[in-house]
Amino acid sequence: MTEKIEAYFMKELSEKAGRIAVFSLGLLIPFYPARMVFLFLLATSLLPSDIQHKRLGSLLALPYSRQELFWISYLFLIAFGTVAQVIGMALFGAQFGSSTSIYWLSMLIGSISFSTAYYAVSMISVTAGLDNFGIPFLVLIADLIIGGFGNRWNNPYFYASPAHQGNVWVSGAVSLAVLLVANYLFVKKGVQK
Amino acid sequence: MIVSIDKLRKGFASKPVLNDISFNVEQGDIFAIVGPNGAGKTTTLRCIFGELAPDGGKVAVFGERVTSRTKEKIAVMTEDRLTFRRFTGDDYLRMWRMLYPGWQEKVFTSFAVHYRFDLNERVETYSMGMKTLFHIALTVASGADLLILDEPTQNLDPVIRQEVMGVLRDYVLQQNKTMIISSHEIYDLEEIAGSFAVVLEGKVLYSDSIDGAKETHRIIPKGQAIPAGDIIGVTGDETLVRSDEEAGRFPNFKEIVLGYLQSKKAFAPFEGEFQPKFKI
Repeated sequence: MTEKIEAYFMKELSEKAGRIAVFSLGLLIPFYPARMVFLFLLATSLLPSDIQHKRLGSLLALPYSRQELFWISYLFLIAFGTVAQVIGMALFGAQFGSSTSIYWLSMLIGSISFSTAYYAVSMISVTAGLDNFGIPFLVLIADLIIGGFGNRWNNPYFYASPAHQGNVWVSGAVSLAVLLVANYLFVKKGVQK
Repeated sequence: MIVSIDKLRKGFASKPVLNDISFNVEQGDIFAIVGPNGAGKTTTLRCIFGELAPDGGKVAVFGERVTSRTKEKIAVMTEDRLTFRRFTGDDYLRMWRMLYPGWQEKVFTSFAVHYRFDLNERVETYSMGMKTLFHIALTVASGADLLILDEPTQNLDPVIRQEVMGVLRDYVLQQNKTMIISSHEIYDLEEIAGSFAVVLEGKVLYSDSIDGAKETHRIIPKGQAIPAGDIIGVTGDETLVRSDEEAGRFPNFKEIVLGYLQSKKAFAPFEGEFQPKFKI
């Protein structure tokens, strides 16, 4: 399995070197909304982008199952997203005083939850024959608007929203649920194109 | 049985492509899938190696559903020769070594030397012919037990094409491997294939061993009496007949394939099997 992961990482780093370098630099920024943008771009440019550009066949012709491709691509997203942010933490963390580690840890968990949700949304979109970026972008806008309505105390969606993350555990659970739905659709139903 | 396909159905959105495809491939066989463009050959292959999930029917490879473990024993060469962007020949080599436990370095090196692959060059910049040869080299050197090749001789000149077909045949014979090959090159297929299926409009019109098909069919020249049996179709001035009687002459592979394909007017939506034009 490690060889399959290594081969996939090699393929991603070779094919998408420029994009990944730019997004990784963006993930060093110590400002969460900016990092959210780069996480969104990274999440939608991995396996969903390959499916959108009809390159899934060349991966499935190799000894990868759909299940493996889904999870290895997700692993790539979480690994790169986390490593880049941890480096950012090491570079800029001192500016945040004594609460640094708790602040960054919660930000890291939040960013994993956010990437999980939008990787899943992008996968659902391409599995349904739609695009990898436009639909997830509309979902993100809707997520931001609906989660931002009114007073946060009487807006339950605020707590579940992958973007607002009013409660990191509730939004994490929602992200995980969307990820499992995306996995089910991709593995069982296939790409509708 | 290496591959067993039973009543396979597949469609894309509102467009049905495969409608009741069934055939079996035995170990050590080179199985040819022939048919016109759009007949469903590539879709059938994509269902076999697990790129597409069938809408109905069963596909079993090595006696089981295709999993990532069974896929380590399958090497695929797709028709579009899609390459990974920015991948050099060396990158492919590293990747294939990691993914195929039976990788045969010596075999690949022989191909690389013979066809002068520049392994430092990006494969996407190779000519189509060179890309085809490069993919054939990867597929054969994978050491896989089942090779699936979609139009493997497309873009190759006649000399190289014949050479490649010989290499593929030797690979199967000497190493007891199995191969499924889809091609329009009927003459090439006749030289290397053991069995075949004629596919049209998502259905198998006829499937048999090439020798078996030749023995059970006759070509009846114009003006000669048609023997008892099924009239399959007309090829030129002659008629292809499925019959055990001694009449006319034995057909070649091309005549059998064309006879079945040109019988497509025998449109029989209510029947599962091929309906001959006439029965004598």
